[in-house]
Amino acid sequence: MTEERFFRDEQNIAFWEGVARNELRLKKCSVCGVVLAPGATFCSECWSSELTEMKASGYGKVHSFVVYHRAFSENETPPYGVALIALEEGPRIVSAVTGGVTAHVGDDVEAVWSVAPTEGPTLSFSVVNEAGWKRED
Amino acid sequence: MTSKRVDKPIAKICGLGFAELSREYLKSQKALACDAIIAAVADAGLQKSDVDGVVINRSDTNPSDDLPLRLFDDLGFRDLTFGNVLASQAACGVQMIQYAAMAVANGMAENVVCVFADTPILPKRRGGDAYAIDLALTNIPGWERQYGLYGAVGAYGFAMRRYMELFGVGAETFGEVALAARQWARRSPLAFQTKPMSMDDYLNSKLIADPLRMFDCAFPVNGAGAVIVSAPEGGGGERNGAAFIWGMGQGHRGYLAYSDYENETDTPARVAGKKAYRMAGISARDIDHAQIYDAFTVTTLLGLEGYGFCERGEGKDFVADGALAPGGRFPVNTGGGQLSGYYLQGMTQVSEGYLQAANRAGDRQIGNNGWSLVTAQGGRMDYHACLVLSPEKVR
Repeated sequence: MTEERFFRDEQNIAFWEGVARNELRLKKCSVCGVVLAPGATFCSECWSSELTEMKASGYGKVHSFVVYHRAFSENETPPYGVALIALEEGPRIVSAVTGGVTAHVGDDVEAVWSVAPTEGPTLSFSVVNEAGWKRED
Repeated sequence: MTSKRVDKPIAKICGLGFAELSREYLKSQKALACDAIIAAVADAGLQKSDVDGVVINRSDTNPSDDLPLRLFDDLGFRDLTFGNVLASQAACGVQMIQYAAMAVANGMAENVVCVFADTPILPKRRGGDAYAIDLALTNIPGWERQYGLYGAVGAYGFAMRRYMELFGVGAETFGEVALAARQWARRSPLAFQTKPMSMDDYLNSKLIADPLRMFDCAFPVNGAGAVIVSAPEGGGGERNGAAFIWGMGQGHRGYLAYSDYENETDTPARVAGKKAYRMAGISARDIDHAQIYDAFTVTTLLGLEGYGFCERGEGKDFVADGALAPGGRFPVNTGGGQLSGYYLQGMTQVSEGYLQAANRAGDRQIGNNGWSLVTAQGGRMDYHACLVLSPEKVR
């Protein structure tokens, strides 16, 4: 794989601008209310194309998790973890878990934004302690 | 479920041929496919002129031009009455048999060759890398790549971790699956991985995408396999034996990565199995042995659960104590499967399922050879297809 790692496509420029503001923008169906992946263009539940954008809270749970011990491209240095995060709004996204390479299915996590896209992805998640989410509301 | 029970077999599989299977690039997919077709026609005791249908199962690992309908040119076919290329991923190994069976059952063709060919190993590519492709969930191009999530090992590693943690399963359960496949492989002349394997060997095998280890993965080869599908009466197979198809099913889904949809540990194999059992007028309890798609050890477990041999999450107990291995309670993947035999996608299970049901499996032949099941799957466990086979032409 020699393609650029931090590829930003033109079609989803609004999404990537959101990422630059440390916001993960999701799509929500105005008709049936289901929350969908950021790149959804219509609702896969009710087929409505009336979608609105919403900002993810940044809270979620680890849906699954792997640690790569083999590099499939020169961009990665194993070992590194990749997680499937179930956002509290519903969609699951691929991301990383900060602070080492151990996580478990069901762990509560919160978003951590970094400012250096050349060093790595800007969004990752950290496991929240047993007291639960450190929500400030 | 609206499928009806059939009172006679739908079709039969009556010949099998392979191209040379290899860990090196020997020839193109098309050339391999031709070798396998020629061998299968001969095995069935048929002539080129008897073949009036060809179905090709193309692999996704190479461009579509590598295995085109132009194969008909090379083989000098004329006046075929049935032909197509199927490309719904690895489930096609079984699906092409189903379409061929429907064709011969309805008079569209008499003898259909079904062929799969693949060259995951290219001069500059290792086998495992052929499957190392991006997995897009967000529908935002570039998102997943940032995190270094690559292809099949990532997706199946996710499934394995989730299975382990939801159902309290340890690495040894996957080891049981790998060990059983290895024991069977040692009895199969077609198998590549025949060195004895202990549980320690399994546990010490290299981590690729933890929890997924090297011995959890299929063994990629270049090669091709073909079978002949004919109507139950007539066609080939008089010399070498036939396996009769009594039930067929498919189950498909969209991979929905939101809400409560469980993609990793609950698959539409369930749907495919119900359909096929109903058609054959049997249930999972009637199946004596099975060839379950095993690109990864977790797919064997999920396949056993999905096809109703045990409840969801109970695969751990079902496979314990060598249950799937030679001499075990429920023989599975009796040629070593894709894990220790060879990975020709769905054709691995189809070829072994045919050999067993036709009583041609030599040293590994299952004595208790009544009903058997052959399965294949594609995508991230999204597309499933199965066959119910029997050596018997009548009930």
